[in-house]
Amino acid sequence: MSLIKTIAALGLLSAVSAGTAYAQDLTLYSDKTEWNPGITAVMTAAGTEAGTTIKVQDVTPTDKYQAFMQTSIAGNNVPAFFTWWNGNQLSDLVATGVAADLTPYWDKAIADGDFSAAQRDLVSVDGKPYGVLLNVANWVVFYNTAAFEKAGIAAPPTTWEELMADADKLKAAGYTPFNAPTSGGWMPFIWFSQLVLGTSPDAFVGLTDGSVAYDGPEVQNAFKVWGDMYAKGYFTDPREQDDQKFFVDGTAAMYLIGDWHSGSFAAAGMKPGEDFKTFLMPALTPDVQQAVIVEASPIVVSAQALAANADLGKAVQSMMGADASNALGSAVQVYNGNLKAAAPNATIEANKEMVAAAKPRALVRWWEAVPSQIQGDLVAAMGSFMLDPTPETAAKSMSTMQAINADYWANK
Amino acid sequence: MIKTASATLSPEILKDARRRERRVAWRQTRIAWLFIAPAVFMVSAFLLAPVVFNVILSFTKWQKFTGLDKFAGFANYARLFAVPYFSEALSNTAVWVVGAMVLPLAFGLGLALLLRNIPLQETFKSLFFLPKVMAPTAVGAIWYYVYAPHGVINSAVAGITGQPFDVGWLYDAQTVTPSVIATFVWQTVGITMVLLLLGLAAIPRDPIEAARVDGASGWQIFRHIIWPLLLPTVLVVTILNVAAGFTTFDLLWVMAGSYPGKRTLSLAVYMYYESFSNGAWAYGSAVAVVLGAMVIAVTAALAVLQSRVEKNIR
Repeated sequence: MSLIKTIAALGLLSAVSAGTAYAQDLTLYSDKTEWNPGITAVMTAAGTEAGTTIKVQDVTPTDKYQAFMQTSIAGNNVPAFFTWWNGNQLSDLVATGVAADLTPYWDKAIADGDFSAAQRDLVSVDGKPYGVLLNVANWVVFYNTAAFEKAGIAAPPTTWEELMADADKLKAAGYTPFNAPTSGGWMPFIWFSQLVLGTSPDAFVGLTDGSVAYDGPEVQNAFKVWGDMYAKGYFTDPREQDDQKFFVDGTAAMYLIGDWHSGSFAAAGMKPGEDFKTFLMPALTPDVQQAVIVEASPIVVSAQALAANADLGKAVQSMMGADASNALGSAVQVYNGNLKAAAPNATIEANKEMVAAAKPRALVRWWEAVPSQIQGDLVAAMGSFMLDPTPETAAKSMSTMQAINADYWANK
Repeated sequence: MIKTASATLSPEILKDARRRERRVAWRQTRIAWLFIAPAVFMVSAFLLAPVVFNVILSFTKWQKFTGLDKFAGFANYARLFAVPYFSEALSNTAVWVVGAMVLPLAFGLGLALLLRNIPLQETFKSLFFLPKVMAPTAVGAIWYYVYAPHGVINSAVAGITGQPFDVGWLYDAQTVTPSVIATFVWQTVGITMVLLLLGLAAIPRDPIEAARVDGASGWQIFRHIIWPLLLPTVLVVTILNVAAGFTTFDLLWVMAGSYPGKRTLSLAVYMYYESFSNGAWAYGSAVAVVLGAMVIAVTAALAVLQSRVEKNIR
């Protein structure tokens, strides 16, 4: 009898402790290791508002994080908070019902002047917002001001011809013009998507909705230009796993990436607005409309967790305030778009003004826009080309990508 | 005339004895089942049930977060031949199986013959066996730096020749699989050697001595006496290595994690990426079924061959 009592007591104790753990120990999962201090600052303040503790747990690299999150969701073990992607990735997630509808919090944030309705659209599916903005970034070309000066480049390029001419000058001055890593399981899409975008923004969109083939003329042109640039020695060694190493150590003079990266450069000792500045990547020909990639990273809130603890709503509202944005900006120089918050550094402020003045066509990043079921397979083919940038590999990569793409849309 | 016991006993007594016999047998069977019940439960719950569930999954449309309740027929199996990555993974797996079958055996047998009856035999055996006690992920991490762009091999060759040497061992489609297989061989050759040494020790000395007296050469002794008697052990080693070759994952995961084409380096890796990264759970299950069927077919064929060889030896 005493044994049964002991077992019952232990069972009760473990059930109570499990319940307590669920109620108190909330976690935000993320693959954004570099932003950990900023996310931690935001979530600590949010946890305080909700009367709870919210820990931050990183899982990297990105492909492993995706696998981790998919198994967690499939196993009905959804974290209270987690970073995700917008576009198709968010649509797929919302279809599962795990993401909380954040309409009341967005309504208040817009009414308070923290965010705009256009920003809400970045994380909306069928008109309803399902994420708190963690990052809103313009994709620009960072350039090393000292390298440009040494190469005799007075002003950043505004056309493709000028860009190529500047690349030659930088090469002559001893620099590798562009930093182009393959690390993290996602980076190979950067130059591929940019060159298609520069060839035809419509084709760029068509690649993500199945209406344009991955071996069509626009993609062929992108691979040709990409291969020519490799042949001229314009890119760094793609095998380097520290994605910013060659830009920070001065080997490479330019780096095409989202402006959230300015914080990482600053953390590595480069001064935004002094050691590095930015320009918008020009289209490949003057007749093609200038376009810019806008990247938005949401933090998704579990519908189950929000329903179980109404106080978490205070945490969500806190995450959308100017204080949270400033805390994020000052810790890791990432900007979540809060209209009342200061831009974290001179580069991000300059980018906002540059984009407002140029009025380019703003497009969702390829990574978020493409169906997530084939995104990794397509990036693998792009990465294969970067490691062996020959016409033969280009042909093989295009054929592989189109086979995967056609198969997906045929069976959707 | 001798009368048997049954002839002297009445039918009732015999019937009763048989009943008691059956009762004892049934009791023994029950006890036996009681003992093996935990094992049967574990194997059924954690091995057979997931395999059956996996086969069922492969006939559904489960993709990402939906479709588990939708029947797909053989669509997932048909898709294996519609996308290019499956055939790439299949051919890389074939290379792995051949490499894992031939190379550890060749080196292991060579070492076993070399180390037999030499001084410090135990020390050498321990040294060659050492990599096997290391976790494959640790082995992979160490060898990653051996093959890295500025790793041990490239730096050593550059140092010796005085010329820049930069082979992307783990970043080139031509070299990545052979490089990881070489690491697999390094780790596996020790256990292969030990198993073969046990097989060699079991071979009787008499026929070898007799052959020597009759003037047989070393090669003739090996070819006609040692090899046939060692063959059952060779086949056991082959079965183990073939299964390892088919299902290789950990070394590739650690060593080739930075290679963009990593998802097609073996069927096991491909299965992982399709299921866990792309969310194509049903399709990944179909890959797993094909992989499992191949492993079962090849190992069963080798097991049949092994039993025939053993019969011939007897």
